[in-house]
Amino acid sequence: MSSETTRLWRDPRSLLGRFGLLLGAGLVALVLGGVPWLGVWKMAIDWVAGAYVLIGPLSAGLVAWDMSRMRATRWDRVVCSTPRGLRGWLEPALMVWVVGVAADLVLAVAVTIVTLSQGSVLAPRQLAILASGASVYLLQVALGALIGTRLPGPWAPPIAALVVLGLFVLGASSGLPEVFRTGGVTGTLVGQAYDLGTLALYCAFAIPAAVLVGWATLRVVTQWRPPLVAGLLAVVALVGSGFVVWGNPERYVYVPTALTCLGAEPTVCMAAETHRPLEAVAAELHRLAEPLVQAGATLPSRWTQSIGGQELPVDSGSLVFVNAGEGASDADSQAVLVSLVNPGGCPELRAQVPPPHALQVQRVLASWIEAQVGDRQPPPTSALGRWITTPAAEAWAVASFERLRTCQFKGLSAPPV
Amino acid sequence: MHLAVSDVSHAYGASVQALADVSFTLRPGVTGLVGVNGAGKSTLMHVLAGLLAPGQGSVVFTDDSGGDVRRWRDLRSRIALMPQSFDVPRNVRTLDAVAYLTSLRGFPSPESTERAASALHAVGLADRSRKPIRSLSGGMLRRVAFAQAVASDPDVLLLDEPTTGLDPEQRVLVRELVRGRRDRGITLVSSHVMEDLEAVADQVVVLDGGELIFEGSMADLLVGHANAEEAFMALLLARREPS
Repeated sequence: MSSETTRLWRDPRSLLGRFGLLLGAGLVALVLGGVPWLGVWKMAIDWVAGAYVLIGPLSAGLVAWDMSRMRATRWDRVVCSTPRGLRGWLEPALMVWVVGVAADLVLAVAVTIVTLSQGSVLAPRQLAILASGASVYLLQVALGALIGTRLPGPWAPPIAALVVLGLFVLGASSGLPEVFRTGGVTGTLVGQAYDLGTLALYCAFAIPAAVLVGWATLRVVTQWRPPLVAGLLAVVALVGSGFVVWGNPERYVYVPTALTCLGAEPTVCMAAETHRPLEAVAAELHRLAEPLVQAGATLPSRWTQSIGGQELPVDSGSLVFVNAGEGASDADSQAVLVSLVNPGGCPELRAQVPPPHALQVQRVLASWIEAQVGDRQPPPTSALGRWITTPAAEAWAVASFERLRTCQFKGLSAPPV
Repeated sequence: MHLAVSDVSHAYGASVQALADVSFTLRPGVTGLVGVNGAGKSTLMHVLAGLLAPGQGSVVFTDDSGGDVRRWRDLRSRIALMPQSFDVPRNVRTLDAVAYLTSLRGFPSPESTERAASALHAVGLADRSRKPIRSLSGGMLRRVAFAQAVASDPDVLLLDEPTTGLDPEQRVLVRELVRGRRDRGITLVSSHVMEDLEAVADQVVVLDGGELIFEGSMADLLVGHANAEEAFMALLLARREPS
């Protein structure tokens, strides 16, 4: 008989349906903005945690629907008269949470397989973001339960979903403490790791807050002693006010990262964790550097990926990537060109306000290189177009490149056009 | 084992005193809880069921000599409530609802399911156990409420207006079920239908305005009266007559 009997909130068909729904929502969140994480496991895992941006509101709506139905039937009075009353009352919400976390973990496994197959490397410390995300998700679900027990049935689900989505958006836009933004970083996190203390603070805020919100859904008095409620409130208030008073704690810290290198004269080095396009980048750098070599310029011995918190080696150019290009399958020619005209890794060029004339020199030098390799020609009727193919331009290019390589900005001169 | 209620008070806000220093002892057998609407019956039921914390006073299990056995809070799994109004999410199957509530009282599956099926059989709903709750009539729902309360075979069974909304045939059935509990621990039946209580109760507790005005046997209540209703009205009149 028991095998035929569903267990209310644990009905396998219902759970499977909700799992599919939440998995689908998480998948949409993962691919909606493209897949820049494809070659970077760290970024992918952060996006998996960020998938709660859709899983959370959808779950809150589902829970609000369940709770509003139960409220209408006074189910809480019967359930809460039992020894396991609180669990019984909150079980629908907890089951949605379990299903949502399971969906998120499935996504984590999936992106791990995909990114590893693309040559990315694991960084187990990053898994902490999944625990932090799950704790905030618990708060999202609890909010759905609270709204479901307080608002009429038809209104509760959409309002719960909007409130939870709003908290995420405000957390991501600095309108609220960042704790509500569970993930979805825009960079690749190369050379960075989560500050575990910060993630622990997120959990220390979200979990007691979720328990308090869950307790507040009860319309009957429970046997909870006031000190327990007061203690939870104190923890939430303390951590929450800390976010407000001291601002968002640093979410990331710099960590040493290994490099992997390819080729010679120059050697091209990328972070091992994001080395996916290394061959293509090295080939493109050699191709674009060829006119400089032919003109007699001295190249640095290597180009090294620019990584936050890490100094570039001596005699190394700075390999710069944009739009998570270090995780792409191919080289972005423009990014390689920008890297090529950064042959010295000069700190002045990474300052908040780089020397304007140096930037102008870099732009013209890049145009000269493009013209020489045949990628792009300035209009032949323009002054630049007429000048760029002259021997004078070649001499200027070699001299300018040398000054950029040796960070001699005072000697840099603008082209005569 | 007895359940001793000592000086229990409960107020809703500052102005509504629902219970005021109520003390009595529930003994094995069936006790009727009587009172007019607003007398405090449901509040007392909810206090005993743990849904309300008494503002003051205590509820403890005692042994036959009157000594404390354990605090009520530690014995919650042995108390079951049939609330005055009871409903279940409409899409849930009847058996599932009863089995689930039984599991919350500490019975693992499949025992909770077996107990639920047995309780539904006892209230004459075996043939509806696979049907969703929404297919049941109001009277059937009251019987489901009874079934979920007795499925765990509690030491203390609290029945809040168990016959409300039932037709005469179903009322007789519920009376029989309550009588069947006489030798199975403490049963407290709240009702304003004196005829029902007269048929099932050995002991009677009468509340009025949140205060206890009678505690004794049904036989004592009936002394000098034709029936329980007349006796009850006499109690109320005596209390309200100007002295």
